[in-house]
Amino acid sequence: MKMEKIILKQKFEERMKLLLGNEFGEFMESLEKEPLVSIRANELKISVSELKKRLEEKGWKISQPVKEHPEIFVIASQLAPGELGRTLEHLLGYYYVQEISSMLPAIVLNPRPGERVLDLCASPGSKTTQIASMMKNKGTVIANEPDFRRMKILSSNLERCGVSNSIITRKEGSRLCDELHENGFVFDKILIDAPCSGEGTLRTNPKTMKMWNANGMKKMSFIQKRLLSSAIKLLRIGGEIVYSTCTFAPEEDEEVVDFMLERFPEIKVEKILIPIDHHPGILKWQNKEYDEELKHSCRIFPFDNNTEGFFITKLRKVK
Amino acid sequence: MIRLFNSKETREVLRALRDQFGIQEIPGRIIKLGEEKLFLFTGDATEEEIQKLERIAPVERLGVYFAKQNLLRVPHLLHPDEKSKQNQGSAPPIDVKVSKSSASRVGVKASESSAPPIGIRLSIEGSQILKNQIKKNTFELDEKQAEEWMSGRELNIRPGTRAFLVMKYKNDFLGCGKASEEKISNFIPKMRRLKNRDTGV
Repeated sequence: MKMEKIILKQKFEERMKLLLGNEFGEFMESLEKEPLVSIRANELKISVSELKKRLEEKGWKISQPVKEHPEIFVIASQLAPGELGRTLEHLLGYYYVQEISSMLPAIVLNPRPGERVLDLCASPGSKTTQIASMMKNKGTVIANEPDFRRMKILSSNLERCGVSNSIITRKEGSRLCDELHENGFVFDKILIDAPCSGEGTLRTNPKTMKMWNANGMKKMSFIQKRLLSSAIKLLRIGGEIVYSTCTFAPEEDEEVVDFMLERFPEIKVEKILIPIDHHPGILKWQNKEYDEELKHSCRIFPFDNNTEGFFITKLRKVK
Repeated sequence: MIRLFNSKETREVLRALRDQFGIQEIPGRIIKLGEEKLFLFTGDATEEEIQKLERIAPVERLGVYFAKQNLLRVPHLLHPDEKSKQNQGSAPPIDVKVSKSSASRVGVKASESSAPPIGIRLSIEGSQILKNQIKKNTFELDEKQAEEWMSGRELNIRPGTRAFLVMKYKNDFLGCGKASEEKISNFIPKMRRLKNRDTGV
């Protein structure tokens, strides 16, 4: 199915041509396609098979494209606008409407029952609910969101999904990390799904292009570096941070991680397994060269799997 | 303000839940937020860590909202601070005909009196979390009633009891309703209601 044409700003188009080279045409074609409609079964409340059966009884055509993660459902049926969020199953918290690429940071983080996890930029709660599900509601996840209105959305989603091992805090992320550190808190795993310019969400959020400007990226890059720098101090030795954004801008992706590698010799980029098609991180952008380790980062473009774009890196504190 | 229940307070809640619904075990720690809301926390953060966290940042929620407790009518479930507050006349007086002996059997005696039910009202999540333990005071809905219920409407039926009832449709647990003589009152929050009859149950 074709979508309404997205008009790209010239500067953005030039940057994407530079970033993608001969794949730019595929990128442009992908912008005209409807993205996959996906949901995640909430195993805190229902089994994957039971949910699948119930939704199929409604006449929905469901596929499970990722063998290792049967909780990921792609809905092939044409649904009425808003229908995904209006079903009894959704209201009872049996599933979460979530883009496949947005499910990957928590999959890469791989939180286990009993661990201490910090989700620093948690609203609206898609990843926190996924983390709690992977932890089977055991251990503790601190979910932070500085904005009051967004915190309310987070709280409501956590409640709907039956998340009972979470503590919701409301504070600017880097200040929260600094004070947690001063008070002796340490974490096994931290997710920073950072605020970003959102270039990867052009199809699902067309406002992104209207708001896009090159200066915005620099501002975001500063915020992202500050968040990551503060969070690294909270990791136990051997602990892991997943840093993700939904933008293509290298200034907000590889550059942020490169900055961390330079500043914190105790961290290393970990190789990660992503269960869908993806690209490696880039090692050069405009006049900057990045650390060789950045090749272990992952970039997901809309033409890889017909999902939103994402960037994911996993860092480990080795000493 | 967040307050973790001590073991005595937890036992009191469990006693009420056992009397009302046959529940034998609370799978986590109970936290009270505000006047009546009870949250269930299954995390392993210690009380000391939670207090420390509260000094660092506003803590907005712990765990999941699982029940509402009508404490004002039931003195033995009150925290000492709240008891003294109530004694000072800042809270409504006990207005249910509860004898000394029945005061420890919250919810059961209430169904035998003409007064509204007292005790604990499970949220949707509370009823889902405890579903395998709920043995009594349930109300089985048919398909049409389930749709009405999830649309937020009260059910104009004679339930034959005065108590909080766990509403159930097939394997779905849908929170509690308040049964009175001629209806079951609905507490489904607006955000959790079915808005389109074509897509519901």
